[in-house]
Amino acid sequence: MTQDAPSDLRYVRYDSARENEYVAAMRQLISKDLSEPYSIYVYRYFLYQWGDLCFLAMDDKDEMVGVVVSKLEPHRGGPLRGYIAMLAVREEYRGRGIATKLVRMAIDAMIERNADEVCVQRVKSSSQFSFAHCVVCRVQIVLETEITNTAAMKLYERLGFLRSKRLHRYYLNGNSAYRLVLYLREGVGSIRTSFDPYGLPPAPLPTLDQIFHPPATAQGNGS
Amino acid sequence: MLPNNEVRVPPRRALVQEKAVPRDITAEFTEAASKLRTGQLVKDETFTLFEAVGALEIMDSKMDSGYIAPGENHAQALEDDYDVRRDLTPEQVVGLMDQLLCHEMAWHMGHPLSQTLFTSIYIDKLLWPVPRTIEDARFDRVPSEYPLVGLVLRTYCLALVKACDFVHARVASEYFYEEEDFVTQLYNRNLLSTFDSSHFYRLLDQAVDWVDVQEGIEQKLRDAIRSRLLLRREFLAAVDQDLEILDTRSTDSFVSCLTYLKTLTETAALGNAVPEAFSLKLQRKLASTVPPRPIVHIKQEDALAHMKRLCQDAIDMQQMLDYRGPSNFKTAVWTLLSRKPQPSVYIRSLLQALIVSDMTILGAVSVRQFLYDDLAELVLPSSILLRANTDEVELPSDPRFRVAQIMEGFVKRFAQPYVDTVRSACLNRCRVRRTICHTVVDWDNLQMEAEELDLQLQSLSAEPALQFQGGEATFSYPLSSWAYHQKLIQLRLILQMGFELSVYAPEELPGIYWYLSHICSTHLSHLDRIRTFTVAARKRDLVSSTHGETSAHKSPAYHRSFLYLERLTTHIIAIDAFAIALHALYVLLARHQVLPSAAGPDAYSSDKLCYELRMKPFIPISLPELVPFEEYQREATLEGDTDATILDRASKAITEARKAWEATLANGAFVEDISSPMKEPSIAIEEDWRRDIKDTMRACIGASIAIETVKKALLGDSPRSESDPLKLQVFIPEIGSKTQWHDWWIVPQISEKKAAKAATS
Amino acid sequence: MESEKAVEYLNGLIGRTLRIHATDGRIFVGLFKCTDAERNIILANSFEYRLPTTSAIHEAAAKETESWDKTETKAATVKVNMSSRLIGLIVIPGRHITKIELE
Repeated sequence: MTQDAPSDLRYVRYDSARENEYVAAMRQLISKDLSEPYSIYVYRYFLYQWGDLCFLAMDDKDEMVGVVVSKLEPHRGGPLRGYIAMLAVREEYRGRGIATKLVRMAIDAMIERNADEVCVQRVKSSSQFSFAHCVVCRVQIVLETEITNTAAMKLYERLGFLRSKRLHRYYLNGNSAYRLVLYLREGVGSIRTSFDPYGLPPAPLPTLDQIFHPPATAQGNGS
Repeated sequence: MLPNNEVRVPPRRALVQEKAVPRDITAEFTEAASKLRTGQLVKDETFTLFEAVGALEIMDSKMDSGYIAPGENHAQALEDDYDVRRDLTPEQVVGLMDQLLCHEMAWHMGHPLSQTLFTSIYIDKLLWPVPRTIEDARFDRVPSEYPLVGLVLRTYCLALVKACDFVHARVASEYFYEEEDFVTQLYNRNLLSTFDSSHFYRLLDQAVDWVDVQEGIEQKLRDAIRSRLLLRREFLAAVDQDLEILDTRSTDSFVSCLTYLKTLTETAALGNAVPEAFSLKLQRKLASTVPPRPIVHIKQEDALAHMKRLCQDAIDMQQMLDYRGPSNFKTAVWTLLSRKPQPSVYIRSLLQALIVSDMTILGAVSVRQFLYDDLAELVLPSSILLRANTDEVELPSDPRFRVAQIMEGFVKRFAQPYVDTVRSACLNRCRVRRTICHTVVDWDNLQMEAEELDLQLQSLSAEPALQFQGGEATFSYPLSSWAYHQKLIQLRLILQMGFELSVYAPEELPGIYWYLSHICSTHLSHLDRIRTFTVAARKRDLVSSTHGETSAHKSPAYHRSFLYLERLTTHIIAIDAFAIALHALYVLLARHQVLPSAAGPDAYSSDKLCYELRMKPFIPISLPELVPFEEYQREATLEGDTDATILDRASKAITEARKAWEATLANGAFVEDISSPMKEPSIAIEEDWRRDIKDTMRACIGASIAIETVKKALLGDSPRSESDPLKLQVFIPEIGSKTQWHDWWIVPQISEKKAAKAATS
Repeated sequence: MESEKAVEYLNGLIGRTLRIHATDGRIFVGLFKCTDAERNIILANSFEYRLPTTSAIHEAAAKETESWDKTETKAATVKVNMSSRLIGLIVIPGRHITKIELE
């Protein structure tokens, strides 16, 4: 796989002045690619706070052919963690290193902002049981198609991401997922977070007492 | 539709009857909004954009479950013109029953009801409006005039829903992960939980009786329908039993299920599917905060296989209900739960409850006794510490009173985390590893706390110091030794389950196998230390008890403990040796650049950063300390060793490993208790255990062959210079593939590269 | 100045219960949380209300011996509750909004 992305493309940083035009193009590109549907506010969540970590690939007709959306924030009061949240490249442009180039731009921008680590996280737009805490880190082992899946995993692993843990059948079709993480500086593993570094959500087993007297809504499901 | 809509509409709102008249603010609102700049938001201060991410977009077909596409007929989109009272052929009834079973099993597998059973129009009609009596639970207010529908199919559906109710109740009351393992959401429906199971058995009997006399139905179809009803009866009885199996010890219902499942498999072809009896439109009526999702279709053979496994697992699980000491119990639990595929969430939930309920293990042993038994087995065979009792010693000045107090405190602090180490095996495999990554940190602290208690106990029991391995005089520290042992097991599991879950990149394999052997050798010295102190304690006992009586009484406890330590040691030596062999093998492959690598040449990562990330769970652990990176790198790459030395190391280690695994297999899965011979051996579980060891031994043989292949390439007839690339093709098989004999042992497939191929590469 | 007033007006509605009519006839009732220049409105804890289908009306109408036509043309006056369900946190895109009501 060549690292040199085609020269007929321009790579630009997202510009909030062109929100309407860019967001419409991004939505079109991403909704084609990913199974998770995103509302306008999902884009706003990322772009209003981390627009400078969003990069676009435009063709010679100024049409968007690729996009990466990311964010960067302290992870539970601990390390400054970057997330690759969405990544899409128009089908006919795939296999030309565009995605790799976009991810590299995002990571480089994060490094400039002193990121400690990067994590690949596909946005989950809505969750069955929560109205609020809906963004969950996942990279599918099997994306919509086998091919895109392996391609995505390979892309990140080539860049040095490691599978830090496996997530059991996250997707309702039964597919499992991996959390992919890349450390960018030494000592990240020892940075203390405000609560447990491993769980999402923190998951202690219930106490014996809880087992014998389970609360009415044991798993806190909505509605 | 909506025959009883005063029921259907939640009482909280009745829009049309609302007293306050709403005010139309469309114009003002639109005017005001138009004054906002692009990107400017007006929002609740406490409402964050992060929360907004979870909002479903209305009128978007992917997000809005109530969306009706333009051109779609409104009424048709909401209602199905499917007539639930219509006559059905026997073939269709069989087909419907089988389709429903598929949906039921899909739900068991973790899919939500909204995509499975609740897409059935029959089930929908039964459950909504909520029936007040069992007679009310019908497909329609006007009953179907066809008994095949109104009696047979209805009864089948009712018994199915009731079985779901039991399963739902069991899973929901245990620890599981919503969405990962199971979806408990009922969408404001009720699974007939208010009705006693006797109603269902009665109806099932009626239905079977009716079918039996239907001369008009072809015999084979009658039998097919009959066996499906009987399966429902037995499955309902099986899940109705729940924890009662601790008393009844009956596997009858599950065994019968297996029989009927066989008939079902044989007669599956008789059914005619009725796809129009299922509809995604029903999702538009369910209280739901999720996007619309498609109906889940699983293959009938997969559904039958799932149910069959569930029943078999339930039957086999009963073999472990007799408590035969902590190590046997833990081996049985772990072995059963390591089955591939992993036992279903229902079985795992049931087992969780069986492991601990009412503060007892398997309904027979107190949690305290369980803890004490484990201490006795590992570190304290026949110790005063486990016999001290505050009830018996009344004088607080008596040291035994203090000992009893301290031990009481120990039980309070350790019972929960200890039982959890067993119980957490019931989680899904990904969560088992993640949970251990959490709890190992707790155990690090627990060990330190135990050490404090050991110090106090040491002076109270006037334990004499002992020289261990020529070092300074030291004490046995039984409680913290025991805690350390637990922790070392957990650290090893983190590494081994990492293989199983396929989280390591090929280039990480040399290092991970090195670390595994490092943990094993630490563990072996720890067991050695424990043994030394137990030997000393036994000697003291023999000397002090001139009466002979007490000594004879204590002897079996020592015997059991030594036996247990011996078995543990053999097992860990086996793991250690195999890890050393694979480590050496992978070092050679890496050194000669034939080991595949996931990271590319321009990767952002470095070896040091990868090490830090991979060893993250080990970083906070104070004992054993994380090996510093520089030392790790020297050790893990076998820096300074020649190829020949490493080859020799690999060959020796793999021979040792094969012997040790043979010995482990010969030791068997369970420790036999000479004082109380086994009541009922856990045959099926033991068989799983043996298969696991045998698979490991096959992996050993595979590794031997791989080592030989590398040896031939390195030290072959034709002398090769250092710079020559090894003419080897290395392939790391996927977990679960045929060429991967065991999930915990990644053996590379190595073949010689063809000369022609080598030239082009 | 005008823009400030607009913000003030919209801010005053935050946390109130809105009824939003969508282009397909459904009504959404929930707590107003957020909006933007395009009137993409976020409602929390919302319920979806749908006009009963003709057969439901017909059934109810038959009960009340009212004429079929009347129920169809003036649905709101018939004592048939709209079917409703909880759907939680939603965004209603401005382009699909036909009417906004304040409760």
